[in-house]
Amino acid sequence: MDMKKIVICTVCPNGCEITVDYTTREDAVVTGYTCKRGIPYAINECFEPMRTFTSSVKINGSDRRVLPVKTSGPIPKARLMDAAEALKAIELTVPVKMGDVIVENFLDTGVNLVSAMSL
Amino acid sequence: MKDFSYPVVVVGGGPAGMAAAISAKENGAEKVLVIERENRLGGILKQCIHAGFGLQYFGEELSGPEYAERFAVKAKEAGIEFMLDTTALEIREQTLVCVNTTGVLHINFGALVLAMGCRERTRANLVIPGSRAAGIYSAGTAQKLINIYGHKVGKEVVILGSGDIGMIMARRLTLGGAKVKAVVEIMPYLAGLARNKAQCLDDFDIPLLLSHTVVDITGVDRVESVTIAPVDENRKPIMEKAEVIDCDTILLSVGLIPENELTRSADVTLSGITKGAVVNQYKQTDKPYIFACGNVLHVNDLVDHVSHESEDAGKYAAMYAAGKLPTVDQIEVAPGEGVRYVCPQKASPADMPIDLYFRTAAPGRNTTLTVSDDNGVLITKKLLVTTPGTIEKMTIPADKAKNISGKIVVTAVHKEA
Ligand SMILES: Cc1cc2nc3c(=O)[nH]c(=O)nc-3n(C[C@H](O)[C@H](O)[C@H](O)COP(=O)(O)OP(=O)(O)OC[C@H]3O[C@@H](n4cnc5c(N)ncnc54)[C@H](O)[C@@H]3O)c2cc1C
Ligand code: SF4
Repeated sequence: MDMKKIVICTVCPNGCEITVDYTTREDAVVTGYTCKRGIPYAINECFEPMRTFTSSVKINGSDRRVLPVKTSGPIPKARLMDAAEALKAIELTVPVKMGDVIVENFLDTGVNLVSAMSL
Repeated sequence: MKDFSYPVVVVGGGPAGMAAAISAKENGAEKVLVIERENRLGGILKQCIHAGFGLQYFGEELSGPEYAERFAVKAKEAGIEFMLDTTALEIREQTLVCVNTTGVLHINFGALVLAMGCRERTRANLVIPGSRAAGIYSAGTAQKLINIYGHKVGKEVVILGSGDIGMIMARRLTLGGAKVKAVVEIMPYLAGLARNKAQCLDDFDIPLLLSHTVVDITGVDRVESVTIAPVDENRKPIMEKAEVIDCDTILLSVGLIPENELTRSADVTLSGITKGAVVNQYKQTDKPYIFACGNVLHVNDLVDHVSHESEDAGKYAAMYAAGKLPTVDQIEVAPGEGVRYVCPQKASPADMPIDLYFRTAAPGRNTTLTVSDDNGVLITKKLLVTTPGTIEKMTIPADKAKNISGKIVVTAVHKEA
């Protein structure tokens, strides 16, 4: 096999070091995981790594000057910087509830940007 | 002066305090009061806006504020009473002295749960050479300034120490447009969790310099550069290999210490290693009416553990207040080969499982963890990788916990370094 990648699994706090030997997604050989949840994660890391994006946006009307926000699911790792840039244009006012959708289909990733706190 | 009386009182409205309070109520305490000095519940989680909380407890990945809010909602539903903006000052036997804008309060309790969390070590706790220019923050202070107050702290950043908060701030600053030039760690291994290195440093190609230290900081009004050098086996810098990195900001991520001023006022025995109270498996200190949990007991890296541990503390505090906590002879629980500390430090034989939380002394592979008492091995566990940055947990099952005797020792033996 042509490629070898060592992935630190982040599915749970154990942080197992998983080795993937692969040429394509189909022939990947995965070793070093403690539980099966590590397998799809490690393979994905070789092809399209995904991350939950968390950050904050300006909020008016609270002693907190910024409101924590996150994507409702993971987005491609390559889009993280775009996501950070997009938040600069957002300004909200209280009240907001945890889970309120702030931007639907955020950056066309198929997931929403939601509030991570009630203020 | 006002007087109050509660079977169970909790100091601290962070994740530990909330979990302890809910559990005390669920285990029979009629009225439970939480004292919190800030204006909102949640403790440090209010500023930990990144995801990664709750993987174990809730089985989903939450951010810090979400994790805290779930507990706050649950606590309110459970009928827990809260006094916010109220600081606990002193423990006098079974009375807690507090202060808020209405004045001094005396709160009598049957059992008290300490859940005051921890604070960061600062530059004063370390010896860092160089000028005292502006632009040097502890990682947690930077986290608060950015994640609660929306400030920017700097453009070119060097982070000293590879603790979790420092690594998390490396990512936060990078996404905010700053350039994080390096994370510098004096030890030959990472201080924080491997997952944070993966997600916070590797994802953004931020260099991690292990076995390196700071030898100088320059700048008059504002930091201008930091000089770093590799260290030898004795952690002495090798000056010939020193290197200057230009930067305007330095974050210190060098660890946390339990906040035990209040605990000292009650004359509770503290551990020299964890800097938290010495407790038994009930999280009970040597003042039997005082319990401790969360980061004030020992610094945890996962809030999920904090919640579980604190539920135990709340439950046993409620049992104590009701006169139902068995008091039996206690035996010592001690770290053996390869283990830095074990919490609890004491245990009594009991017909229920005993959870032991501990850290290994050095990283290694193919590690065998063993818990034994004077009669021999009680439990063992094998792990592919262990590091001091991760808390390990092992549970002595009830059938064995009944008969423990002599002294309990926990060891960690690595097959490979
Ligand atoms: C800066 C920082 C960042 C952290 N980041 C992470 C992270 O990213 N991920 C993670 O898993 N863990 C993190 N931790 C560890 C984190 O502290 C624990 O996961 C968890 O929050 C511990 O909960 P706790 O309730 O014990 O303490 P805390 O959350 O610190 O709560 C303690 C509470 O007690 C209150 N209090 C203290 N003294 C008094 C008093 N005398 N009177 C009244 N109230 C008082 C405080 O105001 C606070 O609300 C961080 C810790 C710090 C210090
Ligand atoms: S492989 Fe399994 S045990 Fe290891 S980190 Fe991933 S999810 Fe956790």
